[in-house]
Amino acid sequence: MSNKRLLTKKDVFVAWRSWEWFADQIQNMERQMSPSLARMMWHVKDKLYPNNPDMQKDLMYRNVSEYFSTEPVWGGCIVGVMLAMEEEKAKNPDAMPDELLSSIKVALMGPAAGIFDSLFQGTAVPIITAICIGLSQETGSLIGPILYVLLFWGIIGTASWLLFYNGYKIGIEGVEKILSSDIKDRFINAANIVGLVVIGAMTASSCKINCGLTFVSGDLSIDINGILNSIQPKLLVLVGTYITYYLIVKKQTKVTKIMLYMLLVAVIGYFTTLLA
Amino acid sequence: MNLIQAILIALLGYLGAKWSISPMGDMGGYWTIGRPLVAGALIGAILGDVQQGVILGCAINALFIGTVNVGGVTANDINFGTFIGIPLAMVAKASVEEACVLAALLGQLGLFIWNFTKIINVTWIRVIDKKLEAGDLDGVANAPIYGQVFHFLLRFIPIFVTCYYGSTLMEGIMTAIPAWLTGIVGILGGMLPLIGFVLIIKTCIKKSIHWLYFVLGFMLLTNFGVNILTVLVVGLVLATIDFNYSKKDGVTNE
Repeated sequence: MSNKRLLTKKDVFVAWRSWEWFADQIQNMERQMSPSLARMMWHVKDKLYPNNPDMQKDLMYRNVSEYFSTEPVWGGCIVGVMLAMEEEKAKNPDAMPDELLSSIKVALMGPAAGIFDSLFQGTAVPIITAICIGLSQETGSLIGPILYVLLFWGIIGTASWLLFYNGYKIGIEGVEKILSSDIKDRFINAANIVGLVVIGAMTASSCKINCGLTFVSGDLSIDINGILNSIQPKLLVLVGTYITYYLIVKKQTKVTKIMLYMLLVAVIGYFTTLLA
Repeated sequence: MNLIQAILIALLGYLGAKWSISPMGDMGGYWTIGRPLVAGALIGAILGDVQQGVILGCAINALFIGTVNVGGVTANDINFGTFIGIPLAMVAKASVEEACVLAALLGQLGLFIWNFTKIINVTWIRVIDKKLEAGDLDGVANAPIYGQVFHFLLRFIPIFVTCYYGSTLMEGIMTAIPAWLTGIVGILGGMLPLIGFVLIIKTCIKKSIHWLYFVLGFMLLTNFGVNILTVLVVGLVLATIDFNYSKKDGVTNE
């Protein structure tokens, strides 16, 4: 394996800028930030696969077609890792299965969002804001807003770039280590396990399906949703996941169709109060 | 408030919303222009009273200071509260307390629009898939730009209309959103992410037995209420065990 870098520090900076600029800009319920990830890869596609439209298309496809979501500002360090992995793949396409990329991505994105949502949104920003509000709330002076902008960009903006760049560097080293030994298949398996456990938790936290039925007979009312939840909290989400999996994987149903089904289920469910 | 002021505030409101194309995206938009503290100063400048703008901005910012959007799920929408609440309070010479109540109410409306945008944005995913199939890579990459249409309209129009025509019209609109629409959007919004998650599970599940890992992660959250870091550690422990005790790849030298 050659040690020649395909991307310069400037390329990584361009990628970071693209990511921060467009990370959330087409937020959608189905794949969240994946189009933004693809846009970032688009900036480096000519560096990774010069004059190779097929590979460039694969690169875009890999990144746009799978769900991706994390905290964009500091959690971008994960995106740095993704960039590093794509670079390694471009250098050595056969040694690096698509699976390895997606399993690492899946295993990292949830925890990164968890850590950085609380560190960035929950800690750093409130502290800075509280200081600045304190300076201006009585007097209405401009010191507060100006200091906020300076602190935000000086601390949080700088940290965002450093995290991204270090994520990229760590990604390169880590991936090279994995690829240079004979642990690749076992590593993919292990990464898949982490990915599945994390995705299980993410599904539980971001999806909700509630049954709205209540049987009333005299003073007695039975809340079906409560009963279902006492069997297993969010049982319907678990069932829904399997049905969706069955349709997509076993029946090869198109995603557009599944969304129409879901719309239908939501409309019928609402009016029959089956769902709430 | 005259037409130009209302347009400027609505544009500023769009730029300061999460997911808008502002300088450096959310960092320059939502986290800078969109903070009530900063927005208050800017709105104040547009309306000719910076000091009052900053005071109102500070009060509203304090109200939203703990707002954290975890995993794409939003607790409250800071945008309408800021860009409708502050201007209206300034024009109506409302007290800081009244501005806060208005902001909190508008936050709820913003939340509805937030979810609604995220659902209709799924149509762009179909566009992206088509463009990708046709080999139009630039078209795929530019999706975050042309995909702004819905988001822009859903942010600009409510802010502009309310600032220009006053709050009575906004109240009319808020009551005009039928309960069934809110209900259906809520139900659909809870289900749609399943598609994305399943598309990932698809690549991770090799054998049916692997579902156990998924269910474990699910239950760790629902039944034990642990945070995502704990989930990660459990996953890592299981992965380490699997890594150490599964068969070695190919020829081993050990």
